[in-house]
Amino acid sequence: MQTKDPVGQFVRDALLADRSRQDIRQALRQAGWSNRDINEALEAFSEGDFKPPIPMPRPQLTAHDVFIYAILFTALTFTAIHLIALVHAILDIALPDPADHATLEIGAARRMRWSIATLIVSAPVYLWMSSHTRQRIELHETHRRSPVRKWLTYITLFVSALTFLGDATVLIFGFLQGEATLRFVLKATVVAIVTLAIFAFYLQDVEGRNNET
Amino acid sequence: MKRRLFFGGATAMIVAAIIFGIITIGGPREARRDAFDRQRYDDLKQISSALFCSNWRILQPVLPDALTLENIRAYCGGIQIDADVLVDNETGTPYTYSRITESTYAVCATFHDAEKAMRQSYQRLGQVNASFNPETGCVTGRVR
Repeated sequence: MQTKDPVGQFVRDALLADRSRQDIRQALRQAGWSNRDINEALEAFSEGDFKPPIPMPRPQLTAHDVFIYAILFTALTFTAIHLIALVHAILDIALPDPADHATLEIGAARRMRWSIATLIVSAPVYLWMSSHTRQRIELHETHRRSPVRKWLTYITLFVSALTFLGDATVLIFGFLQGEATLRFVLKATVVAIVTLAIFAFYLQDVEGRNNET
Repeated sequence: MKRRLFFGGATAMIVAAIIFGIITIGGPREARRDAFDRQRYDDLKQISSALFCSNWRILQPVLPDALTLENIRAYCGGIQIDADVLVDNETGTPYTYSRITESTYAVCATFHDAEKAMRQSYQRLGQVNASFNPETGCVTGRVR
C-alpha cells in the first residue's frame, strides 16, 4: 500500500527494528533520497531509545498561521507596490519629460497622496507582523517550518522575480522607444532595487532554513 | 546582520519617500488651496462658455451689466449655470465681472497660484472665444 509519507514510514519501521540513524541515513542515500528529505524524515522522530519512536511536533497548517502570514505578505505587497509608485510619482514631478504628455501634475500628485496614505497604513503593519512572526519563531522553532510561511515566501519570491524580469523587459522596450531619459532609468532602478531586496531577503530566509534542517 | 539591513533599509526608504513626496506636492493645506484654485478656474471656464452662447447667430445676445443667475438665464435663451459657479467657494464672494464693450467682457478671480490651476486643469478653455491670463486671474472673452 502506498502511504502518504513513504520515507517517514520507513524511518519509523527502521527505528522500531533498532537500526541506527546512521544506517538509516546510509540506506536512504543509497536509494537516491536527497539530504533534505532524509533530514526531514529523521527529524520527525525524537532522538532516544523509547519504543515506539516518539514523533516530533510538526508544523501544521493552522488558521492562525494563515491569518498572520496572509496579512504579512499582503502588507508587504502593498508596501512594495506603493513605495515604487510613490518614488515614480516624485520622479514624474521632479524630472518632467517633455516627450511625455500623459503625466499631468495633478495626476502625479493624486497618485502620490494615495501612495503616502497606503504606506502609512501598510508599512507599520508589515514591520510589526514581521517582528511578531520572528518572535514566534524564536520561541518555537517549529513555526519556522510553517507550510503557510513556506508557500507564501515562495510566492513572494515568484512575484518579485516576475517583477524584476518584467522591469528588465520594460527597460529594453523603453530604450528602443527612445524613452531612455534619466527619469526612466531612475524609475527602472527603483523597481530593481525594491524587488531584488525582497527577493534576496526572502530567498536567504527560505534557503537558510533548508540548509539548517 | 542581513535582517537588520533589510528592515532598516526598507524603513529608511519608506520614510524618505514619504518626506520627499510631501515636500514635492505640499501638505494638506496646499492641496486645499490648489483645489479651490481649480474650482475658480473651472468656474471661469463655465462662465465664459455660458457667455459664448453657442446659439448666438439666432439669439443675438447682449452682454449683461452684472452677472446674476437671472441675467444669465435671460442672456442666451434660458441657458443656465449652477448657482455656485458665480461665487468664489473659499471666500463666498462673487467673481468680478466687467462688461468692457458691447461684445467683450472680463471675469476675474483671486488665485493663490493661477498658473498651477491652469496647468492642473484637464480641460482646455476651448473654443469659446475667451482666454485666461494667469497673471491677472481674468478670463477675457468676446461674444459674436
